[in-house]
Amino acid sequence: MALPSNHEVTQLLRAWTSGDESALEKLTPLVYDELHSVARRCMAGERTGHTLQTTALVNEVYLRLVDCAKVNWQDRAHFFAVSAQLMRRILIDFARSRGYQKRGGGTIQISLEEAPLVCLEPDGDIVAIDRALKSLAAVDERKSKVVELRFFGGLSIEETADVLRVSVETVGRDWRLAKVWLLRELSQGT
Amino acid sequence: MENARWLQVEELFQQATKLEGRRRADFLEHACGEDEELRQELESLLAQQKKSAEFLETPAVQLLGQLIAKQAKLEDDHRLIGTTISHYRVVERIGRGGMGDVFRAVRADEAYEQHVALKLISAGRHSTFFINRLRTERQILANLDHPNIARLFDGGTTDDYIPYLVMEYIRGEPITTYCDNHRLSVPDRLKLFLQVCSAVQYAHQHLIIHRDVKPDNILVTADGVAKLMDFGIAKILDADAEPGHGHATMTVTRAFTPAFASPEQIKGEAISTASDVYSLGVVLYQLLTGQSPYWRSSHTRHELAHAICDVEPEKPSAAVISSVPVADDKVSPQCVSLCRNTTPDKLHRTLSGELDQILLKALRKEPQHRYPSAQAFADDLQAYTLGLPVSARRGTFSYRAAKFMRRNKVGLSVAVIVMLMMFAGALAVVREARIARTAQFRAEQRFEALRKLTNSMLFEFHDSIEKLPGSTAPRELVVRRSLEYLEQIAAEGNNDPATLRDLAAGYERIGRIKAEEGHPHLGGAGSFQEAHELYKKALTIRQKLAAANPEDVGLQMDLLGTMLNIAAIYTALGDQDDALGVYQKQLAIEQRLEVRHDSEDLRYKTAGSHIGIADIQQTLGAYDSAEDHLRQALALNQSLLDKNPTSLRLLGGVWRSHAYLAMVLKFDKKYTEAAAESRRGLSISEKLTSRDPNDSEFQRWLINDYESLCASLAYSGFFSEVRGLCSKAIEINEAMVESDSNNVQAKADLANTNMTMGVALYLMHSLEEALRFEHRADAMYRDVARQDPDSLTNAGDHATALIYAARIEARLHQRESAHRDLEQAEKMLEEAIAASPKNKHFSDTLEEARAALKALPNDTAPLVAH
Repeated sequence: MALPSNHEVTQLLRAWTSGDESALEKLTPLVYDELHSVARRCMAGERTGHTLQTTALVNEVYLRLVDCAKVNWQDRAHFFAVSAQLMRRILIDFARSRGYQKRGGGTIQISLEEAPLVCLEPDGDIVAIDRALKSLAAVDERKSKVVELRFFGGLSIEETADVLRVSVETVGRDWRLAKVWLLRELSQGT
Repeated sequence: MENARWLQVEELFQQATKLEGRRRADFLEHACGEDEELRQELESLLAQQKKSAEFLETPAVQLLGQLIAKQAKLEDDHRLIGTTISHYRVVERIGRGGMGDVFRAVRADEAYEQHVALKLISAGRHSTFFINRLRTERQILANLDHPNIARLFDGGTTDDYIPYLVMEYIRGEPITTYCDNHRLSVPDRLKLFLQVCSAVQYAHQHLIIHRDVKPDNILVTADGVAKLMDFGIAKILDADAEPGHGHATMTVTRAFTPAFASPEQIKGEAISTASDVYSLGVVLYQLLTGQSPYWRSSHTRHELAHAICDVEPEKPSAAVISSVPVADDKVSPQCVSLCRNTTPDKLHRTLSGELDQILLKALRKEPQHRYPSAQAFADDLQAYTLGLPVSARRGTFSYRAAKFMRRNKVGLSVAVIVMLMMFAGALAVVREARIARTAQFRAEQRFEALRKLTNSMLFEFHDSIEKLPGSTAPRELVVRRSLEYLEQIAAEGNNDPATLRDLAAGYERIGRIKAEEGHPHLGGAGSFQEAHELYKKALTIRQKLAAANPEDVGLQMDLLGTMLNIAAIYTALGDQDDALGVYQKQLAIEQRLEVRHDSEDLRYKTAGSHIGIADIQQTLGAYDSAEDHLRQALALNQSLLDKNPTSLRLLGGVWRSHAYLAMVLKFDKKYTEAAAESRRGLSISEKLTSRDPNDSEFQRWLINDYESLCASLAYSGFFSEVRGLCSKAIEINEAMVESDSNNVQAKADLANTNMTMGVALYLMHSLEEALRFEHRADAMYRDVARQDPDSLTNAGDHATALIYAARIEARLHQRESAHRDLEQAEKMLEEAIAASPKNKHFSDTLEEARAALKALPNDTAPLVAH
């Protein structure tokens, strides 16, 4: 498949935010391929002694896909919010679809052994997190947004505060409570 | 949940997170009151708090990225697994390294199944040159056969031209993981590490440098055997070595791991065995401290490179207690010490001192300041584990101080003043401690601190300025002051063995300064007697300590060291009986110790005692017994050297044995045997000087060998080589005198070589020429005598030269000169005999002089030439 121009990706993103679900179907393989190549590069880096850079893997994917200068969003914040939503959708779809069936009914379970840099306790899996996040949205919409931006969007506390137009302290408080709330939800949900 | 309720929960939750334990419980109690539901809600949330620290902190995309990459890798592997490469069937992937992927494979065409590790070398290295080098190196590496080295069996290229190596399959864990998983203590870690040193030493002896020593390359099997992998592979992989590719445009990926690389590797400079010693140091640092020597100062590759080249690593003992906050809990002091089955405090104490010094020595930036070999590194660790003194200990401070002084050009006097000011502070501590007698514990701690300070004055500071010209007076001042404090501490400190040991060492230090003052090149008059008194004080303490702690080898070794100093004083004073007595006692102690504490160090000392005894005996004319002792010394040194062929000290021991044997045999008129010994010595001194042409010590050895060989050959009538040998000796010797006109020893040596040349020419009947050399020798001996008037050796040699000069002069009908020379020789010898009545050489030579004097009148008649 020929790599679409940045412009094309921007168009697709815009179409999707205005409700065109079919745009997502076209976006998904693009994001996935990009993710794949970035991830492989990370592994190669790890091999030659580089530490896996945790910074902005997501941003790297976006920057390669989207021509930021041409994005005619109302503001940057909207762009990040949309990006996080998009990523959430794509990641959940990916987690459901890829060949991880042997690991617990089609979902990815991230154990310590599998991803040593991560401590998703105890058997957190992304699909379950997504589900718990939906429940959280019913209780506290903003806290679920914070998690979406932080976890799926890869934003820092400060960036999240920027996007949501609240203080850094508020995001910090939301984040703290959201995490324990989700953990409790996950431990009860199984 | 309704909104107001949720807001209430949130507010209380946020407040509760700021509280802990009892206070939190009280807060909940108060806040919830009767509202059990609210309390449960809050408690169930708070219960998750601990777990939540890391939860969701890594972005989802990254988790997935890792999984994707892993899966992609698995897909790659699936293409290879099951296929056959050469004779090996690929079974599973077992690792991924800098060089490429590693698979477990089995040899397919044999009746039995041999498991091997198959290493596929990553793409981009497929040039013909590379493949050719792989072939040649493979041959060399395949010969490495050592229990701690993973064997290389085979290698080649696959059908797709991918180079591969087939190696011994080791089922094990990297050494760091193994040690942590088994919670090995520091001594156990050292034991394991010594296996690695032995592997590296073995390879170095086979002229192979590893170039990439790191924990991932050192696997430990379930039986606790360390196996070093990938020997020399880095060289095969190092694209830099490829000829014709010196262009700066080519990006070279060096095949080593930066975190474990030496400064010279980072800088792309010449790599030697010292580079492996350095990497071994990094591995040991990690084994002992759980961290890299540089992690604090380096986060990026660039910072790491800078740190390796320019930043002095933190002392290991400091690294294990430092509470610098880090993300990685694995290096927290508690975690590190737990893995070593100890506490942070104890670990700190274990590493303080010798282990700190040993590690820092291995990690020196300059290769020449590291251990000269993996063996030397291992020897020091071994010495540490046995409680013997380690060689690294004395080096650090002087190394740093010398560096400091070079850098800052600080005057010596300033440095001394600074140190003395520190002492003024220390004195206050003593007084205070005396007042604070009630606070016994604190006082003890202070004594300990003061003892350490004094110790560092006595040893490190003293040693660091020792070699600086003009340092005698400040050295003596420093040591005397230190001694005063030590004596005070000893009086206060209830005869604490450590203090007493330092006190003895202090007496010995001043003794040594005094003894050196007795030596001419320090410009002082003889003060051997004073040295003797100080040595005796040290001896008394050492004897008590050794007797009270018969199991402490270190104390016995100290005692032997003091005895050696005393024997040397007796020898210098011409007191053979006493010297011999001390040497024989020394030998007895050594032989007793050997039964239980056999070590290279001890055997080397024993050999030294044999040589000392032989040296005395030869002056007494007991040549047979001297020869016997020297043969024992030679056998000891030679067998030690066979086991440790790179040790310079042992090579020196072997050389000394040959040189002394040559001398004694010459005195015993066994010239053929003497010449043979000289030649053996010469093979060593020639090798050493060619390796290290600027080392004046080795040059002296070489001069000595040429000179003694020349003399033995001349006496036995083999003249063909004589002139050449002596000329060589004189040439080297003259250069030495020229480069340092204050070097009395070099002058004395030069006088000797000239005398021997003269004697040889006399025996060859070149009388005029011979006389010129004897006159030259005469002038030089005079010069030496001006600077070193009390030297008996010089007097004896000078007299001998005069007698030869007189003989030649007599033959040349210069009766007046001959008579004058002989009378002078007679006078000198009479004086020497008065000082050392038992010296056989002196009495023999005196007899010769007198006989020649008697014969003189007859010599006035013209001689018929031979």
